[in-house]
Amino acid sequence: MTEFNNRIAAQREVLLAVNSVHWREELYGMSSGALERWVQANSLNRCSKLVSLLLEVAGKLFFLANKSQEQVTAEYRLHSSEVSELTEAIRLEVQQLQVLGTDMDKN
Amino acid sequence: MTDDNLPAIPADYSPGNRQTITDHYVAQNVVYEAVAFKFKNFTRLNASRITFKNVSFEHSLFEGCYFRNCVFDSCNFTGCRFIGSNFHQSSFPGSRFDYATFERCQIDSDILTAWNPREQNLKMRFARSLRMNFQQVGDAKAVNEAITQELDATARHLRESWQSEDEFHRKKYPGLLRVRQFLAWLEFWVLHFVWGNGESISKLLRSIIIVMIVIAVYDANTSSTSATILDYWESLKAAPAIFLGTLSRPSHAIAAASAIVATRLIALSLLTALLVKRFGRR
Repeated sequence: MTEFNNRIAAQREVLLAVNSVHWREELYGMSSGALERWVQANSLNRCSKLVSLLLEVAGKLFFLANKSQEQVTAEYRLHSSEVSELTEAIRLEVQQLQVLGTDMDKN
Repeated sequence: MTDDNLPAIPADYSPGNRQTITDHYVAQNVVYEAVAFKFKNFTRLNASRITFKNVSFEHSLFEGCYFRNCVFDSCNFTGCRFIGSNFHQSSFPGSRFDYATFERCQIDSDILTAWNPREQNLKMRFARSLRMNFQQVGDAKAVNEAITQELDATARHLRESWQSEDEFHRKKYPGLLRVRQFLAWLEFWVLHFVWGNGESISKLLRSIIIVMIVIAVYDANTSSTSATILDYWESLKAAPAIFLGTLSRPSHAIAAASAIVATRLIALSLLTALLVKRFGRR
């Protein structure tokens, strides 16, 4: 992941990570409305780790500026790295879900 | 001048419910607020690093406001007017902007992707208003992005307006109006193919190459009665020269030669217009 990731690219990365698994309905965006819809459509548990990670990253994501060159500040770096870490955590969580899902299919 | 001649406001007009809020600032995050920010005239309202989540700003007016680094998550900006405000580094994920207009606002260009309504004509007007806004503040790159969005939405709207069978479009464009929308779409499509509605140099070059191929086919057929592959190849090599007028063939009919000259003039003037439009902003 690049050090100065912009808002849209970061959002796209999270969406790709989540949608790499087959859901009943894909996640279309990171706004609270889109997340709400996705949670309902896939009848997920609102308290699950994945949903809470997504809510957390959504909150941070939109404070990232869209023009990376304006933001060579320590604060932006911190924000950006936090989002990267959360994205990685989401990716892991989704992978785990996938493994569990395929195991359940076999049973 | 006196005001004596002006007619009085009729007594049965009651004053509106609009509140004016001046010189305030939002100190903490606002979540699920359906009423407090509706139908207001906000003058110099400030906020920094604040999240607005599911807030309704319907039909409000923002004048000289300053929102820095704010997040407007799934907010409703239906019918809002933004005048001379600063939204530096604020983002608008999933917000609605039906009928919203912008004037002289400092705003990041990723607002263009914040909202995707079902009605493409709304998206078209939204992008157009933002294009004018970016022009006013001199953000040349964002103007180009806005034009791309506007053309995309226009194309979809025009196609849906004659093709789609849903109730909204069929009630809005019944009978002959549907034919008119089809013609409007056709015109848009042709211009889009020829030169991307004034936005694409590559499309114009493609059109010029197509014209040259047509010239080559015509040239091969007039220079010999039964043209072979070799004749076509020779004509294709000569086509740029014929198109530019450096080579004139006596075998060409007057009408065809005139058509070639006319095409050349149009192609070059389109190219000039495109270059001026595209690069004249900076």
